[in-house]
Amino acid sequence: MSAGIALEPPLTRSKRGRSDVLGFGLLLVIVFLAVVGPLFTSLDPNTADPTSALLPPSGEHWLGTNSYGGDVFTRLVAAARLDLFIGSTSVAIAFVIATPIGAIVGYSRRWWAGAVMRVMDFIQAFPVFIVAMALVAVRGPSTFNVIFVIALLNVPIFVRLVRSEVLALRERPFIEAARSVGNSDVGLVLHHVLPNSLGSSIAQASINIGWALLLTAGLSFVGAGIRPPTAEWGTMIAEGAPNMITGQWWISLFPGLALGLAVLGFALAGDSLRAMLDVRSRTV
Amino acid sequence: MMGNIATGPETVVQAVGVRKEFPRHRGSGTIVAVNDVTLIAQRGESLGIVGESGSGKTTLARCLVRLIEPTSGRILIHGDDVTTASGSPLRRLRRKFQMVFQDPYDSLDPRWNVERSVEEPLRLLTEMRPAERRKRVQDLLGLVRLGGNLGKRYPHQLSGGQQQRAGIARALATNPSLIVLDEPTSALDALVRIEILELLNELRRELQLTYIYISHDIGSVLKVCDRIAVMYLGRIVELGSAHEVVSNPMHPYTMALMSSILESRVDARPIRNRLEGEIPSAERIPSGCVLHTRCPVAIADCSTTEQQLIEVGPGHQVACSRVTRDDAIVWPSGWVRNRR
Amino acid sequence: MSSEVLLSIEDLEIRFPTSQGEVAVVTDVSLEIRAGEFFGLIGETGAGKSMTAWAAMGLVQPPGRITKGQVRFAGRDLLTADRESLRRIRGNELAVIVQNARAALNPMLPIGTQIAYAYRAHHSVGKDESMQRAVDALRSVRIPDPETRAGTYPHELSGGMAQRALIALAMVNRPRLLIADEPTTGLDVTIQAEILDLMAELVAAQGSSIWIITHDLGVIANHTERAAVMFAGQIVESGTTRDLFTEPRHPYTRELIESVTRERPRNERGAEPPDLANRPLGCQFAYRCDLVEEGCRQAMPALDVIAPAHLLRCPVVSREISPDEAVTGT
Repeated sequence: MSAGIALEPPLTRSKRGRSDVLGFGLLLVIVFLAVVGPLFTSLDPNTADPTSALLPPSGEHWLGTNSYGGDVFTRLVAAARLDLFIGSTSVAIAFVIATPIGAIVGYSRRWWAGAVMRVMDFIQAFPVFIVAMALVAVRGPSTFNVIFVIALLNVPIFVRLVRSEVLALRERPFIEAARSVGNSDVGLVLHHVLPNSLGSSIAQASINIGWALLLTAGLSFVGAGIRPPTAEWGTMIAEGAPNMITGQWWISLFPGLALGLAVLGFALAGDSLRAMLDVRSRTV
Repeated sequence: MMGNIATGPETVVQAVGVRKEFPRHRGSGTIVAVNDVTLIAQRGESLGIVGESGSGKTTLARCLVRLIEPTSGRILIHGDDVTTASGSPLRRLRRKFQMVFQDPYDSLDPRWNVERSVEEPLRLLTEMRPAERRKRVQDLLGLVRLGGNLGKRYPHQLSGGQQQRAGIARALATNPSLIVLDEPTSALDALVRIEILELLNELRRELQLTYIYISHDIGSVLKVCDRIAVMYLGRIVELGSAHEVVSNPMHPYTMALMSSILESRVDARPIRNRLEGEIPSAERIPSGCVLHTRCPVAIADCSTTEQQLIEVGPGHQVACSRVTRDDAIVWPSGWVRNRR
Repeated sequence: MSSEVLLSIEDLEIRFPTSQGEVAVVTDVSLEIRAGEFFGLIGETGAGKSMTAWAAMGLVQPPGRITKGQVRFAGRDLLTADRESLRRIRGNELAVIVQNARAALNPMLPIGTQIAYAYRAHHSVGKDESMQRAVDALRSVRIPDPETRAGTYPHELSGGMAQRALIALAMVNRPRLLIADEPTTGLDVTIQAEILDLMAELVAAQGSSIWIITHDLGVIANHTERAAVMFAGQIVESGTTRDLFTEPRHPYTRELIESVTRERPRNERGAEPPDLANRPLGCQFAYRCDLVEEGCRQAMPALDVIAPAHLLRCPVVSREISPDEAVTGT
């Protein structure tokens, strides 16, 4: 027997509000840093100035300097640009490629739809990090290759997501109605199926940008991605790792913090987007 | 078997021997959802199709508007054979027939406002220019009494009755002559239901529309239909004028169905012409007469001979050879044949 | 029919938060159900009838809350009862059947097992005996071959069979009151009639009461002795079923009954549902009533007693009936 009635989704409105603010707030800060940050510094992120090496945070060097005198703040901000660029571009590319595939595979009842999904299974079966390292090892380390790898790994995720939304949508009366008023299959998918299925993909995209940041930093940390001296959060953390023992905590900590907060921001924002875009969770 | 209604220039829709099979869920073979259905409707007429679950009425409706393709048989709209049409030839024909759906909310795209949904058929099926289309949309909304700013609203901002009016406006957009209505009021409350039924009657008179009205609710069928076809497990078992079929049913199934109507009157004497058991699933349709496993007056012959619709009165056909032969049938005690 | 009051609801008010603020979905509702009677609660979607029934079972949970009123079952206060007392009453003296039977049954257990559990929850017997009772219950609802059928799962049953199983589950402990919330909506017509007849028979045989909640007037007319009509969360009229159908007094009741029986041209003002989030002052039906007067919109009309056991929430009509005395009752 049913136990009771609840009209509101599990998270009450005030709790939802706090995580919305946090998520979007963090994103705003990171993007702000990336875009406007360079204006606050006159230094070149890639210069070395051995005389100012290993200085702790101060008025002149807000976040200190690293082992060859590079200003951590300047580098942090430059890294933000690079990381955000890699993260958003790779996910965007995957999204654009995967969405039509997912829609077609979800809508069509032909045999090849299954074959496509097996290919996706194949790609997803490999451990993410190993694949990334292998691909970068084959193609060489460069920004382009990192983007390529991350996009490739994201395609099956989006295909699967879009496909499941489309599968559910396909059976709804308004799709039938749209067919009876003269839509062709293509028109149906473009005008009715896709717009109604994108909500969860967009939310997922945000979360996946967070993962992409982590993957980029991870690859760079192990030397398989972006190579130093290019400023990237992963390389910066790697640079500063040996210095943690000798007490210069600021070199790794700040990029680490930036990375963590950025990922958190994208994850929370994704969650908020999902709640906002999902028609079903709309209260009366 | 078309009965006394001849086809002619006024014939809007004709289904001839329509059969629809679906593959079984498990194992091989097919499920027959619609079995050899023949019917015909003239301009301005409203034909009700009544039945319970498994009757095939919904599948038949979808065949008539070519949302699915019949396995065999033919469907003609204004003489055009639409049975196997597809792609752009089908789209060109769609102007003449449209459907009103059961779920008022979910038959509209939740991201489109009413005006956009009503305009869609005009955009896809006619060559009207944008300004002409906009005007037509406003006219249509006025016709179904969705005036004012209601056209700018989204489905979730409308009541059930308003949503269904939008669906009706959309169905009328290209000036079709045939409208197939699939349980259009079963999701609506009593008073709103009556409003919509009255609107449908009004529109039929004004626009000379032909309705095929699918429903399990005899009450609403009586309000909207001139004739009724009763379906059971994919076949039509009785066909005649609405009044006749309801008050003087001749097929045992129709008798049972009509006796189950709960009248909204305190003094109605309850009649219960009971059939044994429950409706068999579509996976196991009985041989011979589809009703024989439950029929109180079935004889040996009934399990082997498929029944055909035979005329028993002007425009009244029954698919029961015992009745049409006028056998000396011993009806069960308590079985009431005429309602009043 | 004895006049012992089995269930009494007084001045019930239930509120729910929505995106437009807190809404009263049930307000000022009072009713009584007596032992052995068939009582009907009529209303359209959103009228508050199901919510009233849930409150009667102590099942209104946050974010909904009961802000006013009392519910008493056989003298016991249900709203302040502790969990154990409620547990002993529910499924035992007070049982419920709902609209979608297959969804209300546990999909993981065969129906016989579920009924046996329900029996053991209130009687200390062993598994074998409770299973025997379950089979008896299935037989009493005319499920063919009950011993075998006891092992079937809910999803294997047709709608009608599932509803019978649910009735068996509800009746196995011989409840004093059976609450049936839209028990036959969505079932095939022929099955509907059979299920209702079955319920009526079983309940009469056990001397229980039934409280049927539905929007289907045919069900009310054919199976209830007394009924109440709800609109916008309030009771607008209540009395014997015969009176309500032959002489409906409240403009809303008249609209409902007369339009279904085709005796009166429809109200031109339309049948749009009330907006519970923006309740007007005064009578909730005024916005579409053709008898509306000045006074109607100024103060909430009370339920008047216009005849023994006939209550009406419409001062305009009450005045017509007894111009000198306006007896303001419950």
